[in-house]
Amino acid sequence: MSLRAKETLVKNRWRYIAFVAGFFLFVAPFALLTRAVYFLVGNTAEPTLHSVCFRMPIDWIFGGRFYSIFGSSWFMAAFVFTVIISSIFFGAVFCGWLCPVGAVSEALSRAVPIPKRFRIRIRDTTLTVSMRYGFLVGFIIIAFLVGYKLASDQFGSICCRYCSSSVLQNFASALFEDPSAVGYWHSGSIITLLFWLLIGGLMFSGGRGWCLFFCPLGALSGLAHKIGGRLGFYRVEHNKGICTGCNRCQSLCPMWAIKNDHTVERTLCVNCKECIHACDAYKLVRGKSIEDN
Amino acid sequence: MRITEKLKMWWAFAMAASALPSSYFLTMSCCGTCAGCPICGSCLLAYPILLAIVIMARLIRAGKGLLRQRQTGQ
Ligand code: SF4
Repeated sequence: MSLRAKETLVKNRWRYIAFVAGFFLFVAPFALLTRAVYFLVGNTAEPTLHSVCFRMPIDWIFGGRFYSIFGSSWFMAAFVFTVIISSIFFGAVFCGWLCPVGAVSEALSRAVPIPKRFRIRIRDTTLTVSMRYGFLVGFIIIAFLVGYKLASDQFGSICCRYCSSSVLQNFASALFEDPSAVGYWHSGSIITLLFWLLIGGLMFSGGRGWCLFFCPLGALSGLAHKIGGRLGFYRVEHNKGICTGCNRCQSLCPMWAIKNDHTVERTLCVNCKECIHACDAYKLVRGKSIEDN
Repeated sequence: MRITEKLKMWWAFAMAASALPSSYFLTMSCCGTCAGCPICGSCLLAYPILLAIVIMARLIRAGKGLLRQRQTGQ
């Protein structure tokens, strides 16, 4: 391991520890957070990663099935709303620090030493943002059409067709409980695995391809963070005055959130602090912007 | 923002926004007749398109690099 990689590992150790914690908090057979909530409310169901599905409540709302969020899946809906609302105040910290789906693909990208020239990165943040929100609009269109039965029910919901959480949950179940859990493969899960881990994880620089383009919760949290940033809540800012233009921040940012002028695109930023730990020009601020001080 | 940049932005947005719905609906005939797999034929379209985009992006980048190399004569 190079000295730089070691330094990055040490400086960002709390985030990597949080990745592991996220796994134990949400993924069965552990699912400690969900288990604790279920215990408190007397729910006897077995908690899994599906109990806090990051996408289904969004699908329901845009599909006009509001009633679903008040039913037995209330915890799932409450969780998703908490993530989005907290992003206004603290940034998309769930995505950057706790989400097990993003953590696995990012960890894989860091662990497998593929040369940089073979990795894909879009340097133009406007393009990344356009694509991210384009995919969100596509997700909403399908949620709407399926929700209102303009499309036949047999096509199923868009989030269950391509479910990275399912793939992760089944891997975890196979590893810790029943090895046969890994034998559930179908074309949707294979395609998801390919995009989540192979293309989005290994080939995309930073390993967050799935989060960048296919996670509606990530996209909505990004919007919430943008609003929060405008209102003066926690956000990462760049200080032009001390920037040397080395571009290290750009290559470290897993979310491709650093623009070519080194300012931060907030709809993409997950407040992971990789840039802050690598360079003094970045600071996590609240209230006044760096340049006003 | 220059007009070409705006156009590029809206083009990317429109392409991304139409990718999922078009893959969903264009494959309906496959899904409607069989429905044997849970993704109902989306694999026919969505991911080959995505892969094509990735490959094209790489080719364009490589082409640009080559052009730049020729221009600078290095
Ligand atoms: S801009 Fe900094 S804090 Fe935000 S995602 Fe990129 S590296 Fe993390």
